[in-house]
Amino acid sequence: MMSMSTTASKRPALSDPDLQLMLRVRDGDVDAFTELVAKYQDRVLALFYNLVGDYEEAEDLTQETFLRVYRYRNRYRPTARFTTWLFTIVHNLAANARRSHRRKRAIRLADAVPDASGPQEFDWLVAKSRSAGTKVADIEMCELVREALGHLSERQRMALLLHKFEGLPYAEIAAIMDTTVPAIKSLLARARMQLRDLLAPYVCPEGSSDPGPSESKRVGHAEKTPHVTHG
Amino acid sequence: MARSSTEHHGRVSPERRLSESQLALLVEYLDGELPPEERAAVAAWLERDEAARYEFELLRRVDEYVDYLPRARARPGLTERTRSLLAQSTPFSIRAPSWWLRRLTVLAALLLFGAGCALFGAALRQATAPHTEQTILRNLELLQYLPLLRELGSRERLDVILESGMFEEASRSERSDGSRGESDEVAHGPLPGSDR
Repeated sequence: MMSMSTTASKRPALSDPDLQLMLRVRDGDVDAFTELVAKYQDRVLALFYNLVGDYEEAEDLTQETFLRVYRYRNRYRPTARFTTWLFTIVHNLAANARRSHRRKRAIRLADAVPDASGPQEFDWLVAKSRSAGTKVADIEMCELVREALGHLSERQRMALLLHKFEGLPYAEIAAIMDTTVPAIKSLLARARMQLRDLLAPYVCPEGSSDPGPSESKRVGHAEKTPHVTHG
Repeated sequence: MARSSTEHHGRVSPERRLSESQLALLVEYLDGELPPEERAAVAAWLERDEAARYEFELLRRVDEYVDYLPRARARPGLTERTRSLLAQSTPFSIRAPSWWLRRLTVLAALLLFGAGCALFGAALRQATAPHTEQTILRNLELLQYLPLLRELGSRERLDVILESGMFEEASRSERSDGSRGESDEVAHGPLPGSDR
């Protein structure tokens, strides 16, 4: 007879605390749906915001994600974790948004970087504060990283955000993006190398002086400094 | 981890750039995606190879910088707005019916449709079918005068005779004669020479 642990390991979704919630949603329970929205809206919004670069659009896409969760609730099978299903919807919607953007206009992530002079918009954005960093320095760094992120391909960006924001392993990212683990390895490695190339002017490994973020050096336009400067 | 440990023996100048596969391996190491034995091999490689160590440190710090990306937060009321959007998109019932309720709804709809069809059919039949009673009444008069009609040969001639009133007088007198005969029969029994 199969033990409980074996069953659980074969069906990891059984240990997912959101499974019961989603099963209630599948039965049409709107309160359970509201609970799921409240629980995941920030995480979904953060992903969309860094994918599309526009807060309003990110919010619309977040709402659409949850409407799809409800609309397609009967298609949910408790064989995968709820978040895998949720982020698959996010991935598909982001891809649709990307296609629609291509038709209308090019996405300019740099334009959507929150302005330090506009605290109203920034109120809703929380850059992870560092112990030593002031808010202005954080915003400046945030700008640089977002600008660098804008240079990555959409798939690289999606994989990186799922890994960094959600802490998902390669296998789960592969399931969400409907691809293989080696493909995700390659996507993430290339994304890191590209970011390393773009941010190298601002990043100095220990032992060298940290130039820090500077307005004079813009990502993608900065002079390429030698990657390895011994000293 | 044969692929890296054998490749990176000895001290390498930090100016030397690592190959793409070596960098990919460092990224995997950084992400904690390597199995224990490969992880130990990379750790050993980093111990002895300065260039690898430098690249790894660079990657690690860039990775830390990614943490500066903004974590957008939902404005207050987004949950409620999403819920009301859901209500708008499902106007009849926010709570989706279960499968048996859906089947019941379909069945009820089919029954209603059937009843509607039956009512419409009946109304249509009533409107278009010939009215039997009226037709019989209309033709009753004609049936009464059928032998005369045959004799006259046309409906027009019959109508002329009927309109003249001549036939009505004759039939009235016939009726009065008949009733008188019947009363005689009642009073005196059957008349001699009659068939009855």
